[in-house]
Amino acid sequence: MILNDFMLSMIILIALWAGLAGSWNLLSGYIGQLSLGHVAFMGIGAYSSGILFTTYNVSPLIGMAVGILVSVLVAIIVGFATFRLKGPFFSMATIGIAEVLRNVAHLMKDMTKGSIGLTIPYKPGLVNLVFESKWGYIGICVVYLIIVMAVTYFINNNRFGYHLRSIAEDETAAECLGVNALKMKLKAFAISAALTSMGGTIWVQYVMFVDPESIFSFAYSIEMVILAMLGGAGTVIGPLLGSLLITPLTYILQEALRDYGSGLYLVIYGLILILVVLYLPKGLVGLWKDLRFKLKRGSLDGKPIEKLGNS
Amino acid sequence: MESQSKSSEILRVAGLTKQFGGVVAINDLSFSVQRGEIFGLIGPNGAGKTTVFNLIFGLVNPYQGDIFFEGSSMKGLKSFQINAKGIARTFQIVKPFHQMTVVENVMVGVLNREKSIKKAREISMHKLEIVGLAHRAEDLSTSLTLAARKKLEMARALGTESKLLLLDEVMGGLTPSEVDEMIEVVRNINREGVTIMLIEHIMKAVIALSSTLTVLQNGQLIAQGEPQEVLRDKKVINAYLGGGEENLA
Repeated sequence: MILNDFMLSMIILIALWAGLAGSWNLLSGYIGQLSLGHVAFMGIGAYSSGILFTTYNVSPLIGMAVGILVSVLVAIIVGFATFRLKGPFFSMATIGIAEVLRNVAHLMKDMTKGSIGLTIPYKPGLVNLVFESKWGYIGICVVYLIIVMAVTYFINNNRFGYHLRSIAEDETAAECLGVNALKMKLKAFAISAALTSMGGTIWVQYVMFVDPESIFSFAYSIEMVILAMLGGAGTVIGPLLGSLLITPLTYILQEALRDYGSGLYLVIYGLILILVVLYLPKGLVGLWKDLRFKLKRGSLDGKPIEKLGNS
Repeated sequence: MESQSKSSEILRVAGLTKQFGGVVAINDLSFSVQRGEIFGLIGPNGAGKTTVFNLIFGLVNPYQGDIFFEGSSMKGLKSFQINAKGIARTFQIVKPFHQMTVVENVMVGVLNREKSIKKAREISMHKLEIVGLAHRAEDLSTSLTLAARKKLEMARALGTESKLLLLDEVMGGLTPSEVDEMIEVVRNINREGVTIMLIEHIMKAVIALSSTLTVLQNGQLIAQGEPQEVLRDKKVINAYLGGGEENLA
């Protein structure tokens, strides 16, 4: 029974983190500018629904919608201010935003209860997004993951996706071909923030607790990056692949290394990230594509490739 | 200005000046490009040819003077807006989208006007046929040779359905037979009604293609006119050979 319960929790976390990493992927995976502060939107989602539910007894479904609106607004303002920054400067700005929000959550004690945190009342029901059985959470998380993947699939196979990928590769070339890079990036940021915020609401309903230090933790931002990059940034399936591998590993590492210091698993995270960036920059999906390309190339003896999908 | 827009002039550069710090890259440059012609722009290395293209495309801002396309000023416009007005360019240092196939590279520009992916693919295939690259459509752009990448640059630019095409050394680094091929490609594009501005070092191509030739040196216009005449001009010969009277013997 214990094993069974553990496995159910694992499914929940794999789906939820795959969804969160997939949301990150829609911005950074497609436009190639690394956000290291996506936890900001997770926090906005968690606090929007958390405050409304605990204080005003408003359904987290409505809270989720409020969180999405706030996140989109923040994303557009932040994007407008930071998309002129390239490379590490953009990443640093995103870290800063998450840190600012963490402090805001501390300061707005009346609403957030500061560092004491909000505890979600146990009132089971679909409208409250609180469930007696883990199966309820599995349902919600899988639906969430499907939404994220469907949105990604749709964008990937439409002109928006082509334009985003062209910007990621060479913004100047893309602009000279008529692509309005800033507008495309803002759109991607808004969608990405909205989906991350959704995940934040689901997260708080599952954990049933939120405080500034945990929800705005830098480690969560990094987790989204690692999952998506290991699986394959800028692909539909990549974040799910990454989550299937890393989420159980996180749990195992946290358990195994508990006696040696609670943050030690983060060191291993860092190592994984370095190795992925160095040896697997296109992730597992990229590796698979390269292999397939080489195999086909070999068998066709240098003749044109029949078809190379962009799934 | 209204009556001018229907005239034969498609692009006019007026008193264009650009300084980088203390260096004057372009100095009071004026010329105009006629609709339907192939306008050759030559000059020794560092003369400012590519800078002219970058200025036209809003990649180097701000600048003094003005650039008019079909009668309206393009000052302060961004690259994508300039493309939307009807100008496309290639890059001397090719900039393919590496993760995309050849046909997808072309589709990026086509998709600004065409929403349907299927139709955009068809249009892009047609553009690849024009430059003779259709057989590589499904290959990754990284697998292309330099000559093929230059063709891809052209196909991408054509995909935006522009009226004016700026070609920045599309023949550089090609073998003589590839140059011959490229000359034909450029000629065919021009025949379909596209005005072309050509930066080129390969004289054979310049002479074969240009209807007007403009020579830049140190950011200034030193000669302009019929290609054969311009190339006999003393100032042009000096600019290229760098010598005094003895070079003219």
